[in-house]
Amino acid sequence: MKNLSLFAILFFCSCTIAPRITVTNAGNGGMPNVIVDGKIFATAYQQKAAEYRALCLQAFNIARERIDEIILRILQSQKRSSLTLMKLFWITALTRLIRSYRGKIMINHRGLNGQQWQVLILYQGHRIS
Amino acid sequence: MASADTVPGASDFLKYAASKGVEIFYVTNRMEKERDATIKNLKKFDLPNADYAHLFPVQKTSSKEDRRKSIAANHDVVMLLGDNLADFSFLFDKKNSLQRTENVNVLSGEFGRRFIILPNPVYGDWESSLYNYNYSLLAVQKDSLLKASLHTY
Repeated sequence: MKNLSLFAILFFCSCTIAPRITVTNAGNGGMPNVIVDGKIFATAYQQKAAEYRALCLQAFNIARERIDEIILRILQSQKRSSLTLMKLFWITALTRLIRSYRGKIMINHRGLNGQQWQVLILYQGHRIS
Repeated sequence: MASADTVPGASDFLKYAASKGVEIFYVTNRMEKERDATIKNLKKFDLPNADYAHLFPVQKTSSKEDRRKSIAANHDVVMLLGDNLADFSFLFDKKNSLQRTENVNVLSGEFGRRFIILPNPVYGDWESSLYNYNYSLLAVQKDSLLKASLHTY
């Protein structure tokens, strides 16, 4: 069983600061430099194109649907394994205590397996958040 | 670094995921010395899990594989989000353009599912791969390599 098996998302920091651009065509025979000037163009797309914003929102909308699917799948999986609603309530009641005591020892003591702990966390999310 | 804005939609999504009991980890190739400023920025936008334990800046290598494994050792990773293919898999670490494309085909079923990729036309390995990850090249040299790499019609 994994420790405090909350579902995890790795989110990779993306620095959205516009690059410092001080050179345009210097040192390139007076010709525009695709690399330097291209950054200006690409930055304009990020900062000004509503299409860029729409693409990001599209990505996060898909991500949100996936999260909902994962939660549903876990809950259905637990139903199949005959975890009763009453037991879920019992688990929920214990949640705050478990958090206080770092979870794992108490869960093992109660004989819950890792999968049930996942439901516990998700269920808590539905109930308390 | 503490003045960076959020990617559109990122804040709402992360808060939504956190509300469902999902724990968020931030894996970045910013330096360790930038950790405090990065956390400060995450807190500024009230993003979930904005603390020391959930931020993984670059250590020995820019590859994120070890950091991904470290997190996966104790957590069930359900989703990875990023603007660079190397954010998702070691299959994209320091690969050339053709290899990157081939490996996207290999992992095609993951995008929009476990992998959520965001657009970034400004920088990333898509660009660095054109210069064989030689960061010491002059702009004019990069310019030549980029133009030479393009298809002509």
